[in-house]
Amino acid sequence: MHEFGIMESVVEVVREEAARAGLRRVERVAMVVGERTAVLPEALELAWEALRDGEPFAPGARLEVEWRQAEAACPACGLRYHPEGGFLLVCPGCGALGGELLAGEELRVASIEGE
Amino acid sequence: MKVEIGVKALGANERQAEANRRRLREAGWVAVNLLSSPGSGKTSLIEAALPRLEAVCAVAVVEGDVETARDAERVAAAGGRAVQIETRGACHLDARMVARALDELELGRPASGWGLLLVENVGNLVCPAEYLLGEELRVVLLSTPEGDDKVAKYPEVFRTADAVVLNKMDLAPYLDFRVERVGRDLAAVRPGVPVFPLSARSGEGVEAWLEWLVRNARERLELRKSAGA
Repeated sequence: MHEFGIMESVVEVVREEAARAGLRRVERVAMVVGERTAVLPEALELAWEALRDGEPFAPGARLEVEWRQAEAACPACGLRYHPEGGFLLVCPGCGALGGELLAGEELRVASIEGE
Repeated sequence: MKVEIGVKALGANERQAEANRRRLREAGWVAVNLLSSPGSGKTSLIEAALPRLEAVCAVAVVEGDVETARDAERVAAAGGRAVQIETRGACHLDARMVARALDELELGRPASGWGLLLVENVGNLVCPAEYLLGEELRVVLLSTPEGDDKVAKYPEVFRTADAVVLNKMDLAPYLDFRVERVGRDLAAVRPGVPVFPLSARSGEGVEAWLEWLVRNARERLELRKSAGA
């Protein structure tokens, strides 16, 4: 259940950014979340509904999440692949361990929408 | 109206963590974030380390727990300077909690020139990994009764570790714990990370970890100083 802590921070970011942009009613918040952040969609939605209360959130304000697939680069053969089966990086081409994660760890507030 | 922002969801915490780090650095302190499951021996390791560390630098301790000040009391009984953060339900420390602890500690420039702030996180192998506190080094503990499969099961916390301590090695003969299995998983999750098998209880192996800790803490301090950052 780390989604609540993440959402507390998201709500704070939205408040700051809405104030900066002069938005008084936020109707939509878009996030980008990578599959390797271990964020659960249901738990994130639950946290959103519990925390998006009061100004500047419009009643029924929506959270839209773009989920990103993970991509890794093999340190031995350079193959780019989608890491399967958990968090260990194992190259499906040559079997090498480790390597660099190119995508899948995103955890961003992408945009806010309102008036 | 749509406003593109593209900021990190945990950006507020990261900014506070950076402020903590700068504040510590300006006073000559280096923070170390100690992470593990509950009961793996973080407090015992701090107790074992205190007298030896205090011979080379100033030491202060921040204890994080969901409830009670028992750990800070233990550290104080061992002669250490400690403050307790009770998170009252939260499963991890965040940078703001540590900032409040720093207010309470009022760390000045130590007579020995530099100091180590040991931050014992809430026992949890999941959430604390995501929250920077202002630390220069992260040390993750794993104790032998927990099993040698925890790196593969909870990789995120190990992926950010600067060192891994294997505690309660004195119990290893009675358990099916194999150091080489931990090493194999670490090779995939965090290649090259130094591993220190030790026993906080018997003291065996503690010296090697402390030697690493002091050397790396000093290096970080010098690095920051020369970078002027």
